[in-house]
Amino acid sequence: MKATLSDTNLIQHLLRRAGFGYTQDELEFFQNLGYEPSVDYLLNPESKHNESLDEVIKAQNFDFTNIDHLKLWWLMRMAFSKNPLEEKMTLFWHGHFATSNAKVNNAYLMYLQNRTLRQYSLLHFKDLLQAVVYDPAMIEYLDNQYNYKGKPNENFSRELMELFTLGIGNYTETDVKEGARAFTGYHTRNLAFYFDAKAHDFGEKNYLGHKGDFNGNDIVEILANETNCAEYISLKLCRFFVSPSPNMTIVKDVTKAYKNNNGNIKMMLYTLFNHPVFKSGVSYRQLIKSPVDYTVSSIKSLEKKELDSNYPKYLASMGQDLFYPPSVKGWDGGKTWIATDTFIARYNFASHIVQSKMDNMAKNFIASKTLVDKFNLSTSFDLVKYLCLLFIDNDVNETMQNSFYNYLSGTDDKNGDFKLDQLSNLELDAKIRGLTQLILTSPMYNVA
Amino acid sequence: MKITRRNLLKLGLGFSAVYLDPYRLVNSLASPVKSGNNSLVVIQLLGGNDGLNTVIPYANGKYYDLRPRIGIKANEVLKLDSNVGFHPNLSALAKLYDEKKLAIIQGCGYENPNLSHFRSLEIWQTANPDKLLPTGWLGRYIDEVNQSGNPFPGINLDFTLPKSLIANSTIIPSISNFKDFHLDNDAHYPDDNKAHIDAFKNMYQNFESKNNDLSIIKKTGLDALSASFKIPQMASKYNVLAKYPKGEFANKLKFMACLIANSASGKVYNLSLGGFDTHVNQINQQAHLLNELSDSLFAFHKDLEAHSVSDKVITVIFSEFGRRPSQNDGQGTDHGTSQPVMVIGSKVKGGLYGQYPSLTDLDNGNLKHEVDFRCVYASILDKWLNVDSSLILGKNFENIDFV
Repeated sequence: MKATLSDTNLIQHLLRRAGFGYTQDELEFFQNLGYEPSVDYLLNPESKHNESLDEVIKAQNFDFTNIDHLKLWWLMRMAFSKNPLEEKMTLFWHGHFATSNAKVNNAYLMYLQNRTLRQYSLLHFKDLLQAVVYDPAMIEYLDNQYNYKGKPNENFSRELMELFTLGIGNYTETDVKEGARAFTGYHTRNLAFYFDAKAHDFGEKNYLGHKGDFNGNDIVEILANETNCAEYISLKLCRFFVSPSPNMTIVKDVTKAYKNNNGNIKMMLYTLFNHPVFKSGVSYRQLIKSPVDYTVSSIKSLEKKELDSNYPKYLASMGQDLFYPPSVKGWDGGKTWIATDTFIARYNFASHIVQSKMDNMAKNFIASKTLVDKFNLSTSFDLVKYLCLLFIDNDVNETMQNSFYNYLSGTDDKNGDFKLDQLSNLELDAKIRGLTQLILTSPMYNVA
Repeated sequence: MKITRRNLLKLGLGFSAVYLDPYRLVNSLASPVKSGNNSLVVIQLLGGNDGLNTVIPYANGKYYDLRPRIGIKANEVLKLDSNVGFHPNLSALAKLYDEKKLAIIQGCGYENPNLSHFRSLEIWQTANPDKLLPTGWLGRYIDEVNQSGNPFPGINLDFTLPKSLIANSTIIPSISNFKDFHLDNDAHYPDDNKAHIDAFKNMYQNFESKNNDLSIIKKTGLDALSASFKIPQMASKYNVLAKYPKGEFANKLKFMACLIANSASGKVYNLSLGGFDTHVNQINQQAHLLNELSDSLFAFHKDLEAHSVSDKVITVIFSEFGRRPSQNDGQGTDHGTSQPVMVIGSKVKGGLYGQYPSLTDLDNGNLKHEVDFRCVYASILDKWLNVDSSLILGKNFENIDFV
């Protein structure tokens, strides 16, 4: 484990965590910018034009009432947006305010929710929470549609505290019941929020030590001001961006940023990405990639300009079916991403993507012959080093390197001095794709 | 070295490329975790199954007071005795009950019930309501008995590993989609596949990391390599001897029966059926799910019987909690507490155990539990899995006589 990271490694680390990896052009761009300006760049999506993304998307003629289109649309945004952090935060909030189309069963409502999450992704937590309270997909998902004065439905009220704001143990069953009363009549009609005054309980509620004739807005206000909320959201951000069991100093500092800036998400992330814990070797290449990270970072590293419409299906097999989180708790992340069958799905995605057209790999140079010529890769050593740098920051031990050399040469090749020109073009193509697949399926590539 | 580019469609999708120890998986499946021992299947009903409309106290007028619109009419209930009966869609399970192969332990729960799906499920899975344990109760069982380090002491058929199967000594494999359970390699270059698999294996064997998460990747990668290819083959050869209903749950049970018939006994299996969180419009939703549950489990049991392995397997069915006795305004029920647990098997002593919880003496509107759920676990551990349950559960719990 490296104690301090080189400038290049630090940028790579930032782009993997605050985004989904990088193309060579993107890496170069952010390297020239430097670390702190890169953080600022990523945190301020509103100031940038995204024409190329808009064009790619426009060309697809997506139908937003079709959930398969919606999945591909989002994947394209993640792969080609100039504002990767905005997409990553949208993904974070999708996992946080987890809503599944398995129940909502309306792609257009999921699309609207996704837009809302993106719109508020880097603003104030309170405003985001407010928007979620009025979000039709959420209302349908947690049955608030059926929350009436008299016999309230507790589903939304409970998850609002347990999963969205305070965390378990920081409220009572009475708070659940009283909160449910405040959200009575928060319904949907014609794909939009609808306040049904007849169904709303205007009476006095006793909620988390506060008393008043609270409605949903008041509850949001109370929750967003709770210290437990600041801590809960900060911990969750650190788990997502830093480590499943983050060092408490960074959690505390992010919590402080929440409190000092009225729950400003951008300020929390500013603190997080500039924090010594995030920037140190302790965090570098220690987080298991989510299926989305795994997929999109491969798309970027391989410089793919087009996406297969079956990529979302691979994502689902890897355990991250977009718009279908497994429960209202979202995805647990970390080591739960890795199980025998989700591992096999990763492997098969890697196999699939290396078999596809790789014409753009490494800046518009055709894999195999052109690639080795352009980068002057004459031996197995050169090729292994080139690909290991491209995909895994050259994080590879000697024994593994040797197995790569042996794979390329078909013989015992300890020093990597096998001459690549001994291979026919076809053999070279097989070996380059094969080695790329090996690296994409290596333990080292599975971490960000 | 000759590599020929062939048409993708002409290839048997990589099946020809199995050069890895083809019998490692079969051998480990075939070796028992603890010789002469029995197997256990755990079915989780996710979302909180409404126990009151599963095992229905049809003779108790209070039940109909609490549930004027969603109560199941007494004349529709499949009567088990003069007080309680099954939901009408559990007719297949009622048959097993009549055959004395199904036990119902009524009123299972724990002190200070937690109404969160996730915490309560965790409590059932780790068997500790007081503090969060890093391992599950079945994981600790495997730690205790799997001294030989069998890599397949159990198999999870859900998408992610449940906490119940988290062990210290090993990672239980997950096979949720057995049809796709094989590693694909470059179909254009089949002649390169052996070299590729060798290099992959080498790479994984030589990977070292101090990071615990990364060592999980290593172990899982090696498991995937050894288990892939054989599993779909095994499944396609399996002779199904019962009529399963349609649906993913039944398909997975069918696959589980295949694993059980092809493996040594003494293993644990996990599978979930979701959708029980019936806050609204409960009647249709639960009826549909109970029907799926009942018909699938019945077929599963008959399949095991026909393969002469049913004497070695019991199936236990639980949910993270029951639901509120009183219906809400959406014709559904909110989160509740205690519930009936069911156990099925040829060696099970069928019948009703425990007391039905009172419908009048409620705690904050919810049922009080009559049986600590860990008594069910203790009985299974002590009498079915032949291990001292106090080693797994931390203390002794009263055994119940259903097995």
